Amino acid sequence: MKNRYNSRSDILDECLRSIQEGKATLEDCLRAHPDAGPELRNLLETAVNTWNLMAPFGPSPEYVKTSEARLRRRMQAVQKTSNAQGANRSQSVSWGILRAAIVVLVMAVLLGSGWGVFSASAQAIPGDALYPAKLEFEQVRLALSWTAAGDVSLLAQYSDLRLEEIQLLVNKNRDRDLLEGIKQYEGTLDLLDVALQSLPQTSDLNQLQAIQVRLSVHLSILENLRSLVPSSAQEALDRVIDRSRQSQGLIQNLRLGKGPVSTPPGQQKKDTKQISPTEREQKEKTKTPPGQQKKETEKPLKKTD
Amino acid sequence: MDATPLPELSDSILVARAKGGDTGAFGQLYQRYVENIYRYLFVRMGDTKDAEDLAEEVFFRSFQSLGRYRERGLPFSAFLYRVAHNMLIDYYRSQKMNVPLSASEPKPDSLRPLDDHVIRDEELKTLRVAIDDLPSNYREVIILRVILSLPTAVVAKWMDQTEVSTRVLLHRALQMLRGRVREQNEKQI
Repeated sequence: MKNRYNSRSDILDECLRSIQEGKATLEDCLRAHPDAGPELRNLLETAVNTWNLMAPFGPSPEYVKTSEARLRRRMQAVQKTSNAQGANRSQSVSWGILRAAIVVLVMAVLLGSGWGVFSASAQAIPGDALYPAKLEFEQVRLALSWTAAGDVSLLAQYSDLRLEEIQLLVNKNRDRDLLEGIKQYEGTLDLLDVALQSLPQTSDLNQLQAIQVRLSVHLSILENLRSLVPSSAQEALDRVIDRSRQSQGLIQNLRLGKGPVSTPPGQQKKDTKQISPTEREQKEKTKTPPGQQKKETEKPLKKTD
Repeated sequence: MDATPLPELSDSILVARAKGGDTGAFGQLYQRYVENIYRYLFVRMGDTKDAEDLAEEVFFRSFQSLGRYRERGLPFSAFLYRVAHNMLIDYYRSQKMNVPLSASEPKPDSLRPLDDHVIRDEELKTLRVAIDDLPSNYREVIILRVILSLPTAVVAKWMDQTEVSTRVLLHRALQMLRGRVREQNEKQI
């Protein structure tokens, strides 16, 4: 049997739902429950006022679209890494056949009408209509790469391209597209990190060194851009500078044979300078795996009545 | 004749497909839940850009952890919420501070407009301080059930409670919130 407290809670919740769905007003609810007393009015007023003042809009459709595309690319990169690590011989053979088929298909498409789009999109920058096509062609090239070293090499080239795009956007004063350009550069570094971490232990140290040098050039270019970008992009630029440093740190660790520092992209972008890689590794070890509550910080959301 | 739309696939089917490597299936889950996850993060962070960045990371991390997700009564949306909740804690830790709800003021244009189109800044500040001051489970139920207006059944699943105890929790949380708002107002006078 319900106690009095439960039934008052039920009425409160039911009234709030009706108001939020636009099916009733606060006064309608009070009239429907004359016995509920002034408490119902007080609590509903608090709830409705909180809802009115704090309910946020959802994300913009543009964000949802670009973020989903970026997420898919990152998921595919992760899959590629795990496929490379876990593939047995027979899987490699079937993947080889699939790739050969893709090569034939892509050649056919490029030789056909796709070639025009491909060449025209090469000069596209964020905000241009052909820019998504440019990224798609890059993804196809990446899919056709046979080795982790090949992936790393391509992604390093792509990071150069992303940086050039940022410079072009700054030169053309295309402030609105600049944030997207910076985001694309950041996303490419995420993919580069994933690819770097999947390199075999025996990987070419010269290749790693070349990429490290490349990234230090990036860093100086990005720092020079600080005085040129509008204030709206300053924070994003600072973040990407930290992000670039992280990638350099990862390469340094790989070169020294220390293994990768498992930092999820975008997670520690603001405190990279403040903690050492060793501290960061320890911090990562103590992280609660997703899907489990951090009981020491926030109490588990268990029964309270 | 109009083509009959295909029935929407259930979360369980999409999750199973995503576990098998179908990124498109995970993309559908993203489309289904990005709004709720983003709005939850926005309420806690108060900044569009930060909420957007973290929302994407929540989905990426969830995809990476999909192998560990077992349904067993825990809906996928609740799994996402827990990843988001944990990542928020990590985010605050990485900033080396405990960023309260009131520390970052959301831009008024990212909040749902009031009927009279007047943003009552002072009232909003008072409310945010009062919500910060609540115990964490009271704060969560206010955010999920009141601010995000999620159905009680969803809030109960996300918070791992029965619907009855979620309603009671909401009742108590609103009582305490009302008291805290009154205290804040008295302090200002």
